[in-house]
Formats: sequence, structure tokens, C-alpha cells
Amino acid sequence: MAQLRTRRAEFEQAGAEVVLVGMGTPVECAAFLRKFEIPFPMIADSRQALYRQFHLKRMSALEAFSPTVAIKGVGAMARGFGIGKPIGDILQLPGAFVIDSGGRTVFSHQPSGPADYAAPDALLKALAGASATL
Amino acid sequence: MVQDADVILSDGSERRLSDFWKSGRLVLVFLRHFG
Repeated sequence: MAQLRTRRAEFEQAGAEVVLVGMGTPVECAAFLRKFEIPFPMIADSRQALYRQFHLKRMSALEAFSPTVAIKGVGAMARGFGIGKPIGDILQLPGAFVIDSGGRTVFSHQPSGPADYAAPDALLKALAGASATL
Repeated sequence: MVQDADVILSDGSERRLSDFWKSGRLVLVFLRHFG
């Protein structure tokens, strides 16, 4: 998230808008944006309808409590994330998509694990590629 | 094509998902749980 925030101008220059989707209510999502000073719009998807629509996977309980995930969780807490009662489905995996102005998906990132977020470089590269084909 | 949908933003306003890509390209980032 911090990387997306610091590279916001690059996404704007690429003619793209970054929109987050979170599993909270509008109030919970607004509080999250304020707490971490995140400058992007956020869709409040407490029923996970969009997560299902984009076929994002859920972890098994075994994966959720694996040592690897626990170590990454501690790292996130050290950075100030994940402290307090979790909001949303703890088994839900993240994901990222680049959609062109015709509504076509030109890039998708289906993660291999809970901490596997799409790198900003990959998203910007997808945007550059989409520009070349327009 | 991405299926369009009604969505609710963190400010409580309602939009169509397609509103975002009609004005340019959209990078849609799904988060894990937060708190």
C-alpha cells in the first residue's frame, strides 16, 4: 500500500485511477483511509461480492495459520498494520486488476499467498502495454 | 469484459463500477482484511 501511495503520480501520468476494494463497511473503510493517510478511493465491499466476481481465492485454515503467514503477519504489525480486531474475512486473498477504458481486463494478479500483492512496477508495465495497443 | 456492478464507496456514495473505467483506466486493488 505504501508503494502505491508513493507512486501515485506515476499512475496518474499513465491515465489510470487506483481504486481500492476492502471488506469493510463504508465507515470502516473511511477510517482505514484516514488512519493510514491513503489518498485513493475505496469501495466498501463488506459482502465480498466483487471478490467473488473477480474470482479471488480464499486460503484454507491450514494456510492461514502456517508459520510463513505468521511471520509475515508479525512484519505487517511492526509496520502498524493489522493491530486490532480484523475487519473482513481473514481467509480472503488479495488481488489486483488493470481494466482498460473499454472495460476489458488487461492485467490480473492472482496471488500465491496472503502477502503476495501486485508490485507497482507490474501494474505500471501493464498500463504501458495497454497504451501501446490502444 | 468486466461485469458491471453497483458499488458503495467509503464516503457512502453509490457508483457503477464502470464509472471508474469510463473516465480512464482503472487499477483495482483488492485488499486483505484490515484493522
